Parts: sequence; structure tokens; C-alpha cells
Amino acid sequence: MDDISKLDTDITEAFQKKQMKKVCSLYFEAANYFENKSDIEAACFFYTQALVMALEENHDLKEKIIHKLEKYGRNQDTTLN
Amino acid sequence: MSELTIEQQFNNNKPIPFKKELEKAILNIEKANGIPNQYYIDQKCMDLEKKIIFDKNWVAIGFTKDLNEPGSVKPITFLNTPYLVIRSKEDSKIRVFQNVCPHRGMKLIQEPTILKGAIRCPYHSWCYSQTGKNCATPHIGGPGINFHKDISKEDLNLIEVKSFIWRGVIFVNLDGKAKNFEQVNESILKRWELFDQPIFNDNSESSFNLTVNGNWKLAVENYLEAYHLPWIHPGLNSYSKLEDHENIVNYGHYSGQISHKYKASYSTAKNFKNFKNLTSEWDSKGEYIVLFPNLILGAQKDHLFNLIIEPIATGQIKESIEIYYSDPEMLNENFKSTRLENANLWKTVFEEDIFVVEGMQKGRYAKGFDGGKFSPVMDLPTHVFHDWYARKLLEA
Repeated sequence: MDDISKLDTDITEAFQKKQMKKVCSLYFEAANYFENKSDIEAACFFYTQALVMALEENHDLKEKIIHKLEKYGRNQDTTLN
Repeated sequence: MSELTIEQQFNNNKPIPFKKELEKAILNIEKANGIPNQYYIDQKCMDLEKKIIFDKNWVAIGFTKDLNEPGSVKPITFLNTPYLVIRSKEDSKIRVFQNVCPHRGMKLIQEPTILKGAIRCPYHSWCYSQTGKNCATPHIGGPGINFHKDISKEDLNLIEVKSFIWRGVIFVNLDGKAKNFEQVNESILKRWELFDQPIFNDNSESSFNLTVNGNWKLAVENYLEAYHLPWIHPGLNSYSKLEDHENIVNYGHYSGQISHKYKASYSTAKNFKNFKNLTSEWDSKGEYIVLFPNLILGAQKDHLFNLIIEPIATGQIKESIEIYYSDPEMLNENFKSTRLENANLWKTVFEEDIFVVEGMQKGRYAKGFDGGKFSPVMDLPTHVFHDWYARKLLEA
């Protein structure tokens, strides 16, 4: 099983167990994986997935994810409150 | 009664069915008849009542004691409208929204919970802050693109409902056009300003619900008058007799009754602490008022209660009762059995009324019943309610 398949399995499992903080971290990890491979489309997809979980969980990664999405022109006028 | 059927009343393009009969409810009490039967048994009349009585006025929908912790959120469905009540972590303020995502109309929150952060719609994960602002529209411009030039986030905030908190009760005005709560209810706020002090509820012994197979108006009517006490509440009548009662009559606002023989006495030989700075008249007085349309209130020197009537169907209601004390010490374990005894006392009174409300509901199917007559002496508070209700419909 390659890294991304493992991540995929872990995300599904965390979702099923309703471990949303973990889901957020795993999406963030998946986004980093694709960003490192210069696949920005896939990275932004996963950063977006991570973002909604981070907002819901008030996760520490929130600001980092927003920064990434803004850097790639995928978020505008992000409101947190 | 009108010779026209309910269908004809609606089909004749009459905005208010049974208008002539309703007009009789606003006559002087000596000549008045009560609200006609159809307003107790017919679904079309209930639908009209929802629009005119419940959507346009201040209505009690819930209790703040369910939202003590910042971030707590409670979905409340009242007359089919899904509400979302939140105590925001940001400012600790309670706000009421319609429980719906502005995207595809999904119900946002299904169960009471404590939010850690934003509200996330379970359908497409659009997110909202605890103050109702849209804070994420994931993939709205395509995968990984979270904005679109034609969509303004300002238009995607949650739909806030005009709300007000008083005495631990959450009130809403759904159409947003009612005058401010303080203006509408100035007279009762003034009447009970001495009770504007912290109140405490234990969330267990002091909370109970009842389901009654009767129209909501019958529960209101029955609470308003003391006339029935000797027959329906013999226990209560043994220490607070009919002649110890006085009507509270405030046409256009509220009504109820005063008992001049309120006495706090429990088998535990313990007494609850009184509210602070009350005048001496409250030593032996209890006031029992209905704030129209659906909030039943009780005030005594040592405890208060609120009862929200939720109409479920033309002939069914849910009653949610909360009892409040003057001091957190009253919620301690050593007052538990006294609290329980007090709650049971009130529960018995409200349960004794079920037979009457359900009996009047059955009676409303009698075609010959014309809404009933009022005793000009004993039924004044009831007439205040019929007058209020009929005027709201006739003036709509």
C-alpha cells in the first residue's frame, strides 16, 4: 500500500469513528503530500477538506490552511468569527 | 354559528373565517361569546393562527438553562419552524437563527451539542461562525476553489431571528416586524421588576414535561381563572380558597390571577430562600399570569415557574415546565427533596388540569356550542385572552 492509499484508508476510518480532529490532520497531510509533488489542484482540494474540519474543530491548523489556500488564490476574505 | 362550512369560509376569499363569530369575542364581557369552535379543531384555522398569532408576535420557544455553556447549541422545532439557538463562545450572547443552511436548505444541527468551533453543514460542509457569519464555502468555484465571483459571502450568513431573553425564557418574533419585546410587554416587565434578579434551576427535579390532548388556547384559558379551583384542585383549594383570589386584568396585554394566601410549606420543614428586596405584600401573595400567546408564568416570594405551551396539532400540546429559585444554595443536595416536593406539587396541579383541557377539546366538536358565555365576575381573565386573540385576527 503506498502512502496516499494508506492516508485514504486512515481518513475513511477516522470519519467512521467521528474523529474529526484526526480527519483534519490527515487531510492536511494529504494536501502536503500533493503539494510536495507540485500537484497544486489536488493539494488545494485536500487543504479545503482540511479547512472545514479545522473550522468545525477549532483546530490549531486553521490559520496555516487558510494561509496555504490564500497563497494559491483559492480563498478570499476568509472570516473566522 | 355561521351557516357556512369551513370550506366555504375559506373559499369565499374571506381573509378571516368566522369573522362574525370572532367579533362577538371582543364585545363587552356581558355580551361576548368565546372564540368559535373551528379555531380549536380545524387545521386551516390553525394554519391561519400560526401566521397571525405566532409568526407576528413574541412567542416563547425555549429556556436559557439549556444553553449555559459558551458554544452550546440547541435545535428547537416550534410549529414546524426549525430554530437554532446558540450561546456564542465569542461573546456569550444567545442568538436564534433558522436552523437551515442558506445553500441547499439542509437542517444544520440535529441534536443539542457543545460546539468547538464553526457550525458545519453536514451536506456540503459550508461553515458558519457561532455568530451566524458564513466562514467557508468549500469548492464553490470548483474543486479546491472556495469562492466564486458571482457569489457574495455576505448573502450567505445564517438567517437570524429577532429574539429576546426574559426570566430564563427565549422569545422569538419570526416575521421580525413586532415592536421590541420591552415595548410590547412594558406593563408586565414593570409589574414584576422586583423579580429582575438572578434565578437558578437545577435542570432535573425542577424540569418536567406534559403532553395534553387539547388545543393550546384551552390550556391558556384554564390557567387564567381561579373559578375552577374548588372542583378541579381540591388540594390547592384547601389552603388557597376561591375567595382568596383576585383577577389580574390587563386588556391587550396579559391576564391571570392573584392568590392572597400563598404559603410555602414543605414536609421537609425546609424553606427556600426568598428573592431579595421584595415588598411585604409578597409575603403571602402568588401571581399567576399568561403572557400571550403561550407562556404561563408563576411568581411567589421563594420560587418562580415558567411553562411554555407548544402547539403540536389542533388538539395536542406539549407543556415544558421549569421551576427557578433565588439562590444557588437552593440547588444543593440538602434541598433536593424539598425541590422534588415542590415540583411534584406543581406537577399534580398541572396534571389535574389535563382532564379539563381534554374535556373542553372534546366539547369543541359540539356543533351547537357557540364559543360559550363568560361570567362577568369570574371569567374576566379568560375574556381578556379571547379579546386579545380575536383582535389579533380581526386586525390582521
